[in-house]
Amino acid sequence: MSKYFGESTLRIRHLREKIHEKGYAVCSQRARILTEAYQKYESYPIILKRAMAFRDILSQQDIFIEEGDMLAGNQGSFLCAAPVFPEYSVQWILDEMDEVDQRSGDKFFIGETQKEELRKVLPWWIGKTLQDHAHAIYPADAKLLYEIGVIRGGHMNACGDGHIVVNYDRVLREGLIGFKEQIKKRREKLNLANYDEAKQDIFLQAAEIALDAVICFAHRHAELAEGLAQKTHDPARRSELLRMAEACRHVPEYPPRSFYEGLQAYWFVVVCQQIESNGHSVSLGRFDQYMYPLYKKALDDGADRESLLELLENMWLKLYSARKFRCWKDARFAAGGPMYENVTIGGQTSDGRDAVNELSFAVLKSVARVHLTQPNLTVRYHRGLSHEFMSECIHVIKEGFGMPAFNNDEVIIPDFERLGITQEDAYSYSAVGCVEVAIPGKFGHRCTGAAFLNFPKILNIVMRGGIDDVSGRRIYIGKQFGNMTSFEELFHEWSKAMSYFAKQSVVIDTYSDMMIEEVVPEAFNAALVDDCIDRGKNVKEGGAHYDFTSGLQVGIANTGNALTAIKKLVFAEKKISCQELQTALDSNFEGIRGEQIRQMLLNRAPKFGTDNEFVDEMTVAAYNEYLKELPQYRNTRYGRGPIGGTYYGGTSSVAANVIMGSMVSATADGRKAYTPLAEGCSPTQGSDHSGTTAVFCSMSRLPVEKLAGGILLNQKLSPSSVASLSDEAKLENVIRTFFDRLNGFHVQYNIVDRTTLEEAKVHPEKHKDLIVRVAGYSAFFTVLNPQTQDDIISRTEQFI
Amino acid sequence: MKNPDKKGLIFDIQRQCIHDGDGVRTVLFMKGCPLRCAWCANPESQEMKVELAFLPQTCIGDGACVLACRKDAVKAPGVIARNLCIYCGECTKVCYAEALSLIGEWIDPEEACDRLLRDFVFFQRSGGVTISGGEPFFQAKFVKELLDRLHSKAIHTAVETCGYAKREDMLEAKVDQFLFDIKIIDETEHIRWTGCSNKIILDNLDALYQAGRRITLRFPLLPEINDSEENLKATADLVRRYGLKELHVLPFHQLGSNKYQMIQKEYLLKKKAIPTNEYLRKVVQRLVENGIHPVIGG
Repeated sequence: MSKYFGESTLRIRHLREKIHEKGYAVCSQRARILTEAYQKYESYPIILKRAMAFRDILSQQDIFIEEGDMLAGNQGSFLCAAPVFPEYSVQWILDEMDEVDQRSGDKFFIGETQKEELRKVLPWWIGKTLQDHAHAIYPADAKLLYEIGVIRGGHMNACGDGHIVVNYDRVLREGLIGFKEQIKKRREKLNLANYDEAKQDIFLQAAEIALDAVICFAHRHAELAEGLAQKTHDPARRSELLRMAEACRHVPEYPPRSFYEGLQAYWFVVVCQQIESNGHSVSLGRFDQYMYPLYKKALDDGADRESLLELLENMWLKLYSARKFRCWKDARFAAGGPMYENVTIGGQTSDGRDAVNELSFAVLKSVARVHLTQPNLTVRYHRGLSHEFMSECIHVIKEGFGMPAFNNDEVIIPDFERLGITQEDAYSYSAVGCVEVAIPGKFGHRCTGAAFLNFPKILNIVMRGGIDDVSGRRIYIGKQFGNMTSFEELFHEWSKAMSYFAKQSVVIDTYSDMMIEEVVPEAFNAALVDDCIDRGKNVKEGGAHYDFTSGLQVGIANTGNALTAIKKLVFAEKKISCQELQTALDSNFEGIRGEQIRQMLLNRAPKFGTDNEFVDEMTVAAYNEYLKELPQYRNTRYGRGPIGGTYYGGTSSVAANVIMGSMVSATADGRKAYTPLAEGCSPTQGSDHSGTTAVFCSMSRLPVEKLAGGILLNQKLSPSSVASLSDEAKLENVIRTFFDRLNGFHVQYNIVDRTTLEEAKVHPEKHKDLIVRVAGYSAFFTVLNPQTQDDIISRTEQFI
Repeated sequence: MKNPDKKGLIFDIQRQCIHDGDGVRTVLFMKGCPLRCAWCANPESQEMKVELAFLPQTCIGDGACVLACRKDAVKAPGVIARNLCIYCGECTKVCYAEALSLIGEWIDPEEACDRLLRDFVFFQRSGGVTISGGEPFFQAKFVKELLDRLHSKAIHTAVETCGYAKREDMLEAKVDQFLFDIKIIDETEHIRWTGCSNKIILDNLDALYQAGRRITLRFPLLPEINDSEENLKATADLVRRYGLKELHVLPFHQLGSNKYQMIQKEYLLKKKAIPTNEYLRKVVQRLVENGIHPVIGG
């Protein structure tokens, strides 16, 4: 329980416990209904077929209302059950089904009847899935890179697209009826004798079916709630259920009349997107802005704040109960099975005023109380954000579950404006997933999160003249590092490689997007994204108002550190010869000389994140070789309607650093083979021993103007460094300086916990960034002997 | 040519310190101290000379140090005959794992100033430079010149001092805030635990007060050493006498213990337990009863 924010009500605590207990399960109903629908509607165009299947799922899948739950609607047919999406890929489900409860993480439970049903319906899909389509047409070069782990792009073929914020603002203002009327008017004007317009009509029909399906889903819940109300003996629960029934009859079809109905409408739209497609990072946009009129109305009508908080907490539990069943290969990229349902608060109004309101505070408080991994809470920082609000954010950070993250208006808004986004739209941006940003209701899917590029692996391939040592496969014929005579030669090879790999990652994106468009188009969320109805196109066809793509670049700091170490130790100081370094890397630093070389690489060359210009500039130079390739490429929507259609950089790598690291042999930054890479744009593990201010100074040298896809920075914070009021004010000042003066894009703080410290006891060298700050004490960073550790642990626990 | 006399011997520069003065501080740690406090958390600061430290956990045992030593002082990895060592640092140059390192670096005020201002952009909101040690005034000439430089750049300056210094140095130095340690009021006890009388210290404190300087008193809280009823009362009296409300209470910790081993120095309080929360609460309460406002941690 939070001392500062207080405790949730008994109902919320019970519901929270129940979700925890249920864990992760799989529901087979969606797979069955979808399969039947595909068979039944075989002759229809794909977008219509899918809309009709969506309708069948929403009208046939078993529904339930959990005891105590105030909001209706769930993803599966029972609590915490993940639906199955056979249209994306099935082979892994058939292969892994019997072992998913034995996984080392992201465990799922599948009941025997569910398994039986899956075994019955899934084989029909073999050869018909998105993944099958994509694999059939990937060009050979790109496919090889995908197979050996240089580029990871196939994930969306297996597990869906997501990364979208639909126009919730409009859903709340007009209800789905508003969208339906727009569709009706559009259809009336179409000339069906014209090819393009006839195609538009098919999309619009599909959108209409999908919107009706969601309304019908709500009505089914109204009936269920009415039935339950009759049965219950508890008068309080009865009136709750009747309130729920009334809401479900009304929203999301019509605009909500109360805060409660607003939440219910919001949730139906979110959960139905999660049932329609298999994407994660279906985000809620600027929740505190869209919902504020209803919240204010509730307060004006005399609602008690605690009851509104309870509703908010209930909403976060709904988000938390959503599940995504991922194949093991992908599950490892997204540790902990998150859905990345981002809620954004704070920021500015379109005329640059502070947008924080009472609801922003209530969101902070409710999120702190439920203390869960969902929603992913982002605060939009700007210069005018009040001390009062910052201080409240810091209180949430102190709760120690990594939230909220800050995104910085001062950098992001100008970034967007440079991309051709209007000022008004740029001011309305929100986070999607984790650090990525988009214009709510106007952006296409996956403005970031397309192909992941493994930088350190590429450097290793470059050093071996085009051979991937892990798989033994040759990618191109180049010069071997052992025969190089200058650093410039190596950098030249790097630059050539970047040009090649950048292109291949776009090839993967192009083919993936082409197949998503052809095989799994979506009508429901397209209907809720601006310009899709006007253009009669879904998002992947170019229906969105804006459309950009950003891949994710992984291991930036490792690459910069490795190149720096090579330049300094091999070519400038000549402490290691090219051959010697290559041998050490090939053998994973075997033997005494290998270990000496590793220590030299680790300790005798500067590291990114310590405010050292030499390595920071090298990191930027290496990254720029990739970024300068991007302007020449276009995504599949370019020229088909949206503003944009171009690529930009991004580093919101989530847990990809771990899994991508497992595909990379030893690197010249002293990292051992197959260990994790640096996370996002954060420094490599344990190397930022000069403190956050130094990390911030290093980060300020990154080319933020080219990285609209997000610059992820995670920082550790020991509880004792935010113990007192004055400590909190100091943290606030440091954050403000980072954002106001040092081009900070994003920062997120994790409070150092006991587990981290215990780990540090075993591997002190990996935890040099555990900053110990005590008055008058000079911390010798490697001095983490057991006694010191125990001391730090006991200090830590004083404050938790 | 730079004048070597101007150089100071330092052993660390630490950024983003938050308990050593107002705002975010960069702290410069000076070597050399007149006191020998039994609880010292920076034992490597005491001697006014370069020292050699050895950290066994990081040693890879390659023996490069033994080969590099020209005085036959490094017998085996981690086995150092300190009487033979001339602190030339040859062994540290080949110790890539940094198990061996030299503590102490001669630096001139210009360079020190540059390195201390890396966080300038953060100071502009709130913060500055704190000089700590050791005892900063042990190298008064260097410290005064450095403080002049910082002052001329309008940087907020603080010193963490034990108070045992020449009065003129303390009064002349461009210091915005003195973080002044009061360890034990009773002179005999002070001598017993720190090796020095506190007469000069208390006189200096008085002089700074008379000169109207900003002083923050700090009290290292050491169970069973300076936590007696009389000492707490006498300390609180001192705080009130100088019209100060706050007393920074710095609870005893063991974060320095490993550093004793690293420089092979004897540490008398090795086994001493760190204070519990319960204990801290009681002490705070007693100080409050004596009419002052204690702040834990500074």
